[in-house]
Amino acid sequence: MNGYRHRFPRYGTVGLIVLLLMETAIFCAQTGVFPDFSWWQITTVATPVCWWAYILIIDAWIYQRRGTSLLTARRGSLVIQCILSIIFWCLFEAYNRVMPGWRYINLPADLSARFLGYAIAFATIMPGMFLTCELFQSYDAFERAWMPRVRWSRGGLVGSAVMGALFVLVPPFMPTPARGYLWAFVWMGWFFLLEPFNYWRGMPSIYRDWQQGDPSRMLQLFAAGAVCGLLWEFWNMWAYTKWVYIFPLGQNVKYFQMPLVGFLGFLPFALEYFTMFHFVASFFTRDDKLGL
Amino acid sequence: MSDTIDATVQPAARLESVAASEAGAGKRQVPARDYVRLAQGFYFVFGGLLVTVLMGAQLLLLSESSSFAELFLGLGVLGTLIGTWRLYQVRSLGDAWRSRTRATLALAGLMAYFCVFVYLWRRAPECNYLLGNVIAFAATGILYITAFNRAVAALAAELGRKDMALESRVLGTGNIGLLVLPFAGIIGYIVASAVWENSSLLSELRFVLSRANLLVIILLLLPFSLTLSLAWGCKDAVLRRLSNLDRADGGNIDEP
Repeated sequence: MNGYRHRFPRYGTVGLIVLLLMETAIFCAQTGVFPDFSWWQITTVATPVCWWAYILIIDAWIYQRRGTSLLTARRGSLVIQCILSIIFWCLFEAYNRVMPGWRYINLPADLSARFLGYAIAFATIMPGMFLTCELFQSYDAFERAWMPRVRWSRGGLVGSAVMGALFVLVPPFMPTPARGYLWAFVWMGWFFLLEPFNYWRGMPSIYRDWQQGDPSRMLQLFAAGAVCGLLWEFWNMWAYTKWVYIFPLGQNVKYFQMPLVGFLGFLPFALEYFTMFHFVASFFTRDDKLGL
Repeated sequence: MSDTIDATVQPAARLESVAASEAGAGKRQVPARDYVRLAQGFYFVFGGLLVTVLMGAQLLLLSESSSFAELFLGLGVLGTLIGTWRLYQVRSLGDAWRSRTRATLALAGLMAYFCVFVYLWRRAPECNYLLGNVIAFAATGILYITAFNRAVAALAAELGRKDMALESRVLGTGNIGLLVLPFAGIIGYIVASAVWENSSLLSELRFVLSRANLLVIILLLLPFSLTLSLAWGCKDAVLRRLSNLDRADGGNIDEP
């Protein structure tokens, strides 16, 4: 915060209006207002619309606090984030085909509409989480947090990469009934696998933060993962086209439609996306394209 | 007699003349460290690509699971990625080299990404989503070959190796006819058959593979083997340059 309060950009207001309209449609669909109207045709796109509206609002909020934001100053980064977000999520969808995790219901019959919907929805994951993290940073959240410094040896980093490789490769090899219990390893594995490379190559790295005794970025990402996790499940609950969880763990204690134990996965998931982004970026630039 | 040939002198004299012509043709000052990176890169690409093609073909043709082939496919792709990254690190060969190696690196990264889908597809072969991504893995490999040839053409032009530049251009163009078009045709046929006959992609793929004869397989593998030989040739050319540089610097190959 630089002391000067910037105006709230118009696109933020547009995001607010769109979100309110969609929430109204969802409310009408749930309560049966105007029963002759096919509300499901609108709520079928609730998830992507709510998330893009959320991105507009949060970005505008960040601009108001900082005078700069992803949409106003780093649009190139936004495009890269959207593309990588789709690519990374397709990877987890592939795991989902082998390990029971979730399935989508009420998808459009038209394949082109379905794929377009997938792309628009998956593109929001990364910018949604990172903008939320940036908002926490604009409030200096967790800035005073500290932790004992971690001294990384070469062996420790190699061990992390090997452990990560095992985490991401072994679960699909396990017997079919056991696979559904092993999602935690997949959510953590890519972080342990790729983080040592980010550390070695001088990219923004959580491991380097640990070395400096500074857990603030990790905690901000955890918080962003938790907030986005709550919102994902909240908006998904009322949408017509949505996902339901089929992994066998903790199905009797739920928040919205997700088993409560699954919520823990959102915390490492945010770290994982951060690490994956910087790993890919490291091949092309040494600049911090995320600015987190 | 003036027309006699001194056999003991000729090879050394010819080597020097070749080195002089190559050094004259290459206008840029390429540091020794970049030559080392190039040699390492071509070594890794050669080994990685060879293992990837062999193991990829084996995984596609075998119906039962093979952990050996899966492990080595991963190692092959990793080798290709590391090699391409080493080539991309060479900054002294101009903009054309840089942009082409960037494209090659992006394709190597995509190959590494799609390689995970190959692992997962072996666990659920009937899944169209995973098989689609396996096809994308093969398509990325073919595009990688084309991009690699283009990068080599840029390198050959910088090194003043007209023969190598011509070879890589011919290969790059030939790949479109020998690999890209047949691959697109085969995939189009598989998808169309699966849609019209309402069958799975896997059964159509197996049907096509069962009808492939040796000549077709050799024709499809030809661009890969020629590209591998080109990578090996590049490595040799780079090592020769490095050796000449070493001789000129009196054995010191550190960064000038």
